[in-house]
Amino acid sequence: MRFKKIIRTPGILFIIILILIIGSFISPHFLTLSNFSKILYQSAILLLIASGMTLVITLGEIDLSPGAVLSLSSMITALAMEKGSSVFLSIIVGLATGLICGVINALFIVKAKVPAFITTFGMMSMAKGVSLGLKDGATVRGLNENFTNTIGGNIGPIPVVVLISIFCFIILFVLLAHGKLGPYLFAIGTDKEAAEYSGINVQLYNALPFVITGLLAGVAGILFTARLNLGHPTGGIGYEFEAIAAVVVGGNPLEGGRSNMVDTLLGVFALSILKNSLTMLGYPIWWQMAISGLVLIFALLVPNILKYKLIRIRLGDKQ
Amino acid sequence: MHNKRTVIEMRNITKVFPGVRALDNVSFYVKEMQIHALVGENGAGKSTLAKILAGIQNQDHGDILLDGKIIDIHNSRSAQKLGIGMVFQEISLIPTLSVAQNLLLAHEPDLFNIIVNKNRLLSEANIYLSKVGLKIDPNRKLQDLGIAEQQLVALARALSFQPRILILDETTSSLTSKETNHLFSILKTFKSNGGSVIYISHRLNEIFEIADHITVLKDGLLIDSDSVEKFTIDLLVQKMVGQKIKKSVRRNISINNEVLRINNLSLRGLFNDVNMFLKEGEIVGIAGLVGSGRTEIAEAIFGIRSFDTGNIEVYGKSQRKVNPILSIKNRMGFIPENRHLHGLCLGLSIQKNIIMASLKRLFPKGFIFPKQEKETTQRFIEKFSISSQSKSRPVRFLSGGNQQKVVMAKWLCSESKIFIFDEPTRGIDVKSKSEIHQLINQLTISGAGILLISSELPEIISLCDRVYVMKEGKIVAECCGNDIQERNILNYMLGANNEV
Repeated sequence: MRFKKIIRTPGILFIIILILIIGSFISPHFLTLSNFSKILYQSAILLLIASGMTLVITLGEIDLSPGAVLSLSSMITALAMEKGSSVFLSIIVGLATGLICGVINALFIVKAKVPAFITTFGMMSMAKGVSLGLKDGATVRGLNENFTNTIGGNIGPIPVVVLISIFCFIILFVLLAHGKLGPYLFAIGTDKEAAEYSGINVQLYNALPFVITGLLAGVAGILFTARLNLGHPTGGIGYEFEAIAAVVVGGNPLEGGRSNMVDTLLGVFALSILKNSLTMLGYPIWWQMAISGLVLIFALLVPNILKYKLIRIRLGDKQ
Repeated sequence: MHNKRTVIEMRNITKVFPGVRALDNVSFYVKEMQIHALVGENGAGKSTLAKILAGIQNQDHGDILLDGKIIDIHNSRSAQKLGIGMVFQEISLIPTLSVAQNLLLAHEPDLFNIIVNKNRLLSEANIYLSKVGLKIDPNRKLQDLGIAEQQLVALARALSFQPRILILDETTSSLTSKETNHLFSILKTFKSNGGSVIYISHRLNEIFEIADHITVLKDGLLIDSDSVEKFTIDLLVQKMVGQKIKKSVRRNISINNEVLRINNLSLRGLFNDVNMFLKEGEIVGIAGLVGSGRTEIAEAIFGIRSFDTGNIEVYGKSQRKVNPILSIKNRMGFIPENRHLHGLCLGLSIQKNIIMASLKRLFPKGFIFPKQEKETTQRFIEKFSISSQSKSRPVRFLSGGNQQKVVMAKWLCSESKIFIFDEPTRGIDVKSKSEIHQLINQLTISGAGILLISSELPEIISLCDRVYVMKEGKIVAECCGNDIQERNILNYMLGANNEV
């Protein structure tokens, strides 16, 4: 049936096309190459966080900490440079910050069985507090120019930030679609007991997504620092929710059990062009928030209604 | 035949769950090239025994020996490595994954231990699928397959571990006789290649068809273990059941007005054209295998599940649509199969649970008065002799039997007149079981009508005045009086082509 085929196309594509059409009417600059490279540049960091978040959501869990961890990694990388560390060492320190936060999250969730919501909420608060405390709430300026020029710069026409983000995305895409990680996370997200009976190392694979998300938040912190040319103690706030929104708008179920990295990519893209077009329309940031929220709810509502109809049709077919 | 080696041996295995002794000092061994049937009623301990072998549960006491050496099976992976494959009663596969992914989950062919080798995954999956004679595309999602096909995938998965011992827990309960025959030929091939099978089934005729050896369990005790020639069906049933079940002699209650009538109730795929009635003071049983639609019918009557066609008459009032609020208003109470999930609020006290369904009636002003709460519930706690240190303790800490009494007290408190019991004594120790049976009997004296769903035929036989037998969503028989006998009901439950 044609109806079924239409439903199976990810709903997010319709939203993207709709925004593109509306956007092209609004401004002649919307559908231009330069605008798109701008969108790409702006969505690089969101893509990183959302990629990690996809793994966490596949488990049916949630991670509220990556935004704050991003800020912490940004501050620590910048401070390391301010104290005279080499660029290389500063980057390692920034990555380690993210990794350690991820590992702490994972240990509490998997070993101490503290709910992920609580653990990562606590981590968010801690990371936020430490980032602000490091410099009494001030930013860190005067970074190494090599750092801002390489990571904040371009290779050919493409910003390095975008390249790194896409590189990380591709690795996770391969792991999820072609690695063992995919089926194992699907299994744990669907039925933890069955996964354990199957012989999957449930603890390990329950921990990995949180560790990966922490590490990616570390990467994001470094990219963020290079882009802004400063260490920012609150710069990452809100990314965690935007990432969750992107994953879900892309069509991945919040209850877990299945997911698709490409859907997340589309979700990130949709949110980014929406923001971009609203900016072009001259809406202030608060109206952008309100409209983004509305779109998020609708993006979830529509597939739910369609899914319900699809189930009715399927039942009908069987009889 | 005498020089077959013992492959696996279980010595003095004991397993205790809160309130129940699931296995009590059971010793049991399986030889090579043997199909060993484990039989017993529900709760006899068969599945627990199988789960201990498969590494899902650990025994409290006792040893397991493989080839004469003590082994430690601490999780399912170690069982798989030792050559023990299990097909579970409830399908434990992942519906969102493909057939091939499910088949080889957690031991898929890989590259560098990270990436799945998709070509080899498919080719290996095809090998095991052909072993069980399943001709399907291994790329299909598991959720798109039928139950029988899913069972065969589970079997193929168990075979993919190259097991020496294969455990099948009620694998045929959802298969047709043709599919069952096919399964048997697979098992026979497995056996002739030197494998051993532990076969758990309720279908006794199947056991005589396939098994070499039978072990009977009852209430966690090993009753008998001998080669199949030593048994007849009658003997086996007798050993499973213990002494012959007597009809209880509670009767001289007048059975009067009709309280509930179900007319042509149907729900696509679950039950079809069901007609029943229930009178005041009557206990009516619904017998049937798991999946025959018993629970679904009960849920539809109480209004948890909707139905497509038909209607429900409560006290002569016909209803096309029901919901729990309406049912409670109609003085109906539902004691569900899963009391933890659907019967109780585990974190709340005994008192709060008892008044749960009567809040509006007891406290019309919207506030709960502790004194009234205490007075109201005290009556039920005494009447049901619910034992606990404190009435305000969460019901989570009560034994299964006491918890079930709290569920019953809840519906008595709401002044129910029609009770639907779904597996009221599952996982409950013997003493509380007979207490609950007595309480059910007492209910009828005060004029209540009772629908009783149970997998335990002795329960149905000893309590019920009439029994409806369900099979595949339909009522296939109604037994009254002297027709209420285990063999009779089993016959109907399993259907004509499964003559016991």
